[in-house]
Amino acid sequence: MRVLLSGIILGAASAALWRWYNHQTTQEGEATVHLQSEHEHFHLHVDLPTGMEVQPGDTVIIESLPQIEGDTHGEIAYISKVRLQKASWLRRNLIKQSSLVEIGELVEHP
Amino acid sequence: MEVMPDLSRTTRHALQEAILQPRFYTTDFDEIDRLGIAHMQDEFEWTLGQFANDYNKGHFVRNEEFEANFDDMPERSTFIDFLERSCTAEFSGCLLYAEMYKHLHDPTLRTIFKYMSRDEGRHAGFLNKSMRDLNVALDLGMLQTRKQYTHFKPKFIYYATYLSEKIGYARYITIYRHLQQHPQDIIHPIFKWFEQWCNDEYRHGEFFALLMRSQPELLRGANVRWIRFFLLAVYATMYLNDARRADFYAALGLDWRQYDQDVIRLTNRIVTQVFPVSLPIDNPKFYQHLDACVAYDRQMQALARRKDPLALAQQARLRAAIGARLATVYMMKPVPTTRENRWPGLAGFPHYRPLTAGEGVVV
Repeated sequence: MRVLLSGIILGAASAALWRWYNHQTTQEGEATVHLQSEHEHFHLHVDLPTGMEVQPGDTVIIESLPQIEGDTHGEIAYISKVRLQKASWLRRNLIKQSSLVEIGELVEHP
Repeated sequence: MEVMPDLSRTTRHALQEAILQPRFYTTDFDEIDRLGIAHMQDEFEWTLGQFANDYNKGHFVRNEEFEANFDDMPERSTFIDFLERSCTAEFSGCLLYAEMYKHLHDPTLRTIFKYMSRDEGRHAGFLNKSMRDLNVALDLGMLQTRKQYTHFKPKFIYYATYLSEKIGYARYITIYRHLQQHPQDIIHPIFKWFEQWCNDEYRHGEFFALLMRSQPELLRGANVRWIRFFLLAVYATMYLNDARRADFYAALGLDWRQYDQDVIRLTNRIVTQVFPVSLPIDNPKFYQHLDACVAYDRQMQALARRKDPLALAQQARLRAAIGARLATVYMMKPVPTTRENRWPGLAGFPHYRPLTAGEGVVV
């Protein structure tokens, strides 16, 4: 009985941690997207509105992206709705403390 | 008379989509902002001037050689893979430096990062265009949903990015010099652009070297262990990756192993400009261990398609074996940097020399 109870408590605690880890809150706003795609330059940057700050584990979703056929002929700057999915405190701190796991990404080179 | 259809250079290959999956990083921008660089301000300003010169402004201009038909080029698919990976790496660098520019407050550092972002974006554009020549369209949609932001401590970014830029230089220049001697192996004109291109990489590395020199604590004490760790991470990552792409290097007339060892030798020399130690690459055990890692990795590749428990267990064993070998290399006694073995600088490349009384900046 005690083993069963311990198992249930452990399972419930694990489920709660998992839920906490995956919990996200979403912020929405309008951002300026800068896009340039041509043979002499290629970039895409997003200026998030004031108050929206990206932290480890967060995800940014740009709602609209123009259909680009060929070159953009200079930089295109446009306003798009963006969603910032904020990671939970647990996920954020785990990502901060475990960055060396992703070291392959940082040391990859052309 | 039947008119021949217009067989453009890409008609025999279906449109292919390349997926750009750049890395998105965050770091502690406040910590970088707190770096004191005032005591070396003149060196930073000189470096800023080098970036402002924009030596490669007119370099990335395509000529008629890019109009050729590349349908039958050797190793076409692995070449596309090379372009895709290179474009991803350059684009990721562009994003990282742009983030620095956006978040930092020191005007000198901000502007240097802005210029470096410009260079990386330019390289990415050149690679992207070359992919389009091969009927490969970059799927920008992937950028719409940015994947999770990864976090690295600022010092990890300094070490890793410095090494990434310097090894990038070594890779480009080694290919360029080889093709200069063996022009029959030039499978695509983009390689002819590598000489000046790699100077951008070298220049970026010079900035990070300066940044680390301005913070001596990054180069001593426990941080020396981090330096050894990053040196090994960068060398081993390249060695394992290139072993998997031996066919591509063979198409360029290169033996991947010799090529990688040449690149590592050059990089290991360059890093003595700032690091107090380098790795003992002349110790025969160094490459014995790396070659063993390659052998384990090949066995893992062979098992990759299998999902049965036995294969998974074997993969775990091989992964552990690679880890043990790399740990052994890490424990090998490093080579201390001395006045005799310190990198003297790149011949023909502008170098800062401290001002002496009555002397201007000498280039």
